[in-house]
Amino acid sequence: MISAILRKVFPVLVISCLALYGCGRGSSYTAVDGSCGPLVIYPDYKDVTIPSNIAPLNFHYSMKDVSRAVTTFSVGDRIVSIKGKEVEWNINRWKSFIEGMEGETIVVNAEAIVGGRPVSDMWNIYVSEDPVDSYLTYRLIEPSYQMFHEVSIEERCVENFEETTICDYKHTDNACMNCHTHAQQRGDLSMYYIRGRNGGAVLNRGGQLRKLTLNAPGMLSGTVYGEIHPSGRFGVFSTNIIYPSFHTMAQKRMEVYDTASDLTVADFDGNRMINAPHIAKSDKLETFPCFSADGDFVFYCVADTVSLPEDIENLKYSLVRASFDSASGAISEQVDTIWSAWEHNASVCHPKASPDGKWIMFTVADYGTFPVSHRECALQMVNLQTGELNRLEGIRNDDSGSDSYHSWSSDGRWFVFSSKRGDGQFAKPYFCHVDENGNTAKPFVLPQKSSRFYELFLKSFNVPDLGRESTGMTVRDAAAMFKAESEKFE
Amino acid sequence: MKSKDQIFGYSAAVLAFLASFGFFLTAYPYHLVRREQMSLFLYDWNYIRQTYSGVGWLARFISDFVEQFFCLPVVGPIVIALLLTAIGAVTYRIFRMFLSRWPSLAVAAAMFVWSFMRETGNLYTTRYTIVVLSYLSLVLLALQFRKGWLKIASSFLFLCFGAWALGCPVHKNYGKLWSTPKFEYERLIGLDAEVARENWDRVLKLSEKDLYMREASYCYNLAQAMKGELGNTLLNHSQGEAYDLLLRVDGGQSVFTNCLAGEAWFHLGAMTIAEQSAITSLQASPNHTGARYLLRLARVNLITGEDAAAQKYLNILGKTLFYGRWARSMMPECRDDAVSAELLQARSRMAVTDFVHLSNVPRSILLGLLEADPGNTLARNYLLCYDLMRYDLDQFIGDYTPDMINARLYHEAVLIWLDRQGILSEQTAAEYGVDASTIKRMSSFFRMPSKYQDSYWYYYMEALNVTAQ
Repeated sequence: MISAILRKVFPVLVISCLALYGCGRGSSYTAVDGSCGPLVIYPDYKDVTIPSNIAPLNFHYSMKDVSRAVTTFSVGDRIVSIKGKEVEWNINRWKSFIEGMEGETIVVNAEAIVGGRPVSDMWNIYVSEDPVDSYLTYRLIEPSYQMFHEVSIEERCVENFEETTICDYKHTDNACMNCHTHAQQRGDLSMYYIRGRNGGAVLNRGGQLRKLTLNAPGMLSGTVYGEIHPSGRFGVFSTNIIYPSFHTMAQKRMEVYDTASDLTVADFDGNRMINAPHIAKSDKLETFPCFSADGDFVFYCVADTVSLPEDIENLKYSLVRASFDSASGAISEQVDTIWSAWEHNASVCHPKASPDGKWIMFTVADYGTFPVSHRECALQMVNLQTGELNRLEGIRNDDSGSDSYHSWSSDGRWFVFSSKRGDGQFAKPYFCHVDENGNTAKPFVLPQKSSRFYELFLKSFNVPDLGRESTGMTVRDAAAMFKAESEKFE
Repeated sequence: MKSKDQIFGYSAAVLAFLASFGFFLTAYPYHLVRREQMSLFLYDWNYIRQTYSGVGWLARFISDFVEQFFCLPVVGPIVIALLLTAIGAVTYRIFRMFLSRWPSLAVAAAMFVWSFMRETGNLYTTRYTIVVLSYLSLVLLALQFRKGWLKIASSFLFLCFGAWALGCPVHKNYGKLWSTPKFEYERLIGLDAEVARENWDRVLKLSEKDLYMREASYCYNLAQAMKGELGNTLLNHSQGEAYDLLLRVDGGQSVFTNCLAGEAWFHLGAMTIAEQSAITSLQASPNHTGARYLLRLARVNLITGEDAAAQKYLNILGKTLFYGRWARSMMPECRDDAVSAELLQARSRMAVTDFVHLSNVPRSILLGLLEADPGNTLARNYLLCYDLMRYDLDQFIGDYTPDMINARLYHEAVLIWLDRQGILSEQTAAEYGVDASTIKRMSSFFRMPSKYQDSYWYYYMEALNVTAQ
């Protein structure tokens, strides 16, 4: 019996070992979201505009039967050739290649044998004169909106491939956590949440960490979405009663909606919540507040309540602006409509003001407040000086992956956003250059050390947020905060 | 003397091997199958480099490599029995250097039993056993050096190597210190595995003992429904609430229940719920990469026509040893006509009218599925049974008449409804597909209800009695 079993098992083991030996040889990948052109590359770094301080743009030829590939990068007399199907740079070589190349165009010539035939291709990579903020924080999570398990918040240095975990499940008793957001892209002013028992909002102000319970009597819930005021004293937040639900039509997947929501202001110095009765109207839903660059205004999304979930398609949020008193923390009763849901017959979420105060960028979906599973969802921005709407047609993706959760770079010349373009299910951070007139370049995905990283990675990059400098926070801080007593707010 | 010692050692090892092999083969057969379902090993250098880096990489690598074979019958028990026996043997060899035969055997046996019991833990992975065995082997290796300084130096080097390649020898993540077999849980994960394999006869057999449990009852109902027998067998056992016919997927219940919940929805054609069920299960697998759930996600996206998402899962599965052939056959350029037709048929069952729900409105969801495909017998059966369990005969008749399914319970319910309308006769019953013998049986029921405890009449009467009280 045993010898018979061994006779069966042994060949399988031998085959698997041989297969292991042959890993990567003759792989039969089909591109999920490759580039155009005679030679398909993934990630698509053809004709993109990049900052000079970005990590190497590693990619691979994602067509079948590619062999003897040679990729040559050249600018003037600087030439680098990389042989092989996987074009992965040594980081020092990349840094010395791209050094001082601001404003230049890298010409990429590629030659390969595809299916026995020689194929060549050529494209450009434009190096912008504007550097991007060096750090990007994001939460890594499966595209599930019902449960969480082993979540982490990471800080990636976009100039190389170093990733530091700011907070993870191992140090917080497998608690859920919400994304980290910087205030004005400052590494020393930021916040994230640890949820559940022992949870709280972890505020990083000048490198000093505090755990806060941003929930006071009379509030709908603890604070959810929000932003810290440039002064660092206040934070504006929404409080939401959130329901995750399903669509019956498979292509629409999930819907998450609020049955009630309000705005509140947290005074971090006075440990008090400032609730505005004129905003907390029962027939309105208010959410996604953010400050203007100078901190004098609060932008937020507001919708009329409808019967949910039946009338979800009629749930449409407008973008409004109210003035903010940075001495008292009061939000004015008077509001201006920046973008009208009624006028556009659509719904807006996640507004973020550009650091130069010129633009307010937001996500537009057909309806609702959960754009990540709305494939029609796209970024738009309004010029706050002229009121002109820029639909950002140039960065739209035509394969119906939603674009959402954007974040500005501190100079206002770059923004990063979370997009499900490609596989339609896993969000990845894309960088996009925007000039002073609002003209955008072709976005590119965050480079990874392995050119096949995104094909094998099964988590979404949730709420990517740019920071000028590192927050300096680590999992040890998270563990200490998790154990620390939370400061109560009144 | 030495040969006697060897014979003694070999005999003990063979006994230990047979005991553990027999246990995992016969008494605990699904334990290792589940481990395979929750893990993934790809024959791809990029994946290997990306996944097996940092402290403990070798233990994780070997564990995932070995666990992929657990989907094969017999292989899992052989591997685990070999590992456990090796732990006992290495322990014996170590202690034999210092102690006599019997004390060494006692320590080795204790180590074997301890490792064996730990192996039966629900969330245990093979990595923990590999770590124990590897560290013991390193100790044995270090002891082979005779010179004192060499022994110390090698021990230090081996410890460094172990810490790097295997991870810390004592760590809270290396499973519980002690576990005992949980046979009820074993039957449940067996049900789960057989439901995934669509081995419905086996599901029926396995669920027999545990029908009082919500999950087992759900699996039994699903197996009967897949065999087209739900309308005959629904009341063969005591059912829970109507909502337990089709479980919801939400964050408030266990991962195990959420995973099972997706199975019925998948077969019915409610792909959004099936997909979320698979994603939440994937999240709960040790490395968030359970092969079974990736397979389900690939199938869901193939059916829904989300080709790019399906492609991602197929690319991953295409690099596995045991799912690779299937994955490659599903890729657009390799699909044959039969596969394409099957996908089209499955796609035709999906809802065409959209609404948003919390997966707690089975009737609306089932009606939506029937609107898309009136021939979806599975959905029709679930809908009718759902109506029956809620004693809603008016809705039942409305749902029954478009496609009168010939099933005992439905006929019994039709007779109650006709009687309540005051129009019960052989002729009216025949119009609803109910023959005269059922009417006769109904008369017998009234004479001796207790003989018909599996009838809908009894179920309905009990409800009336409760209401009357």
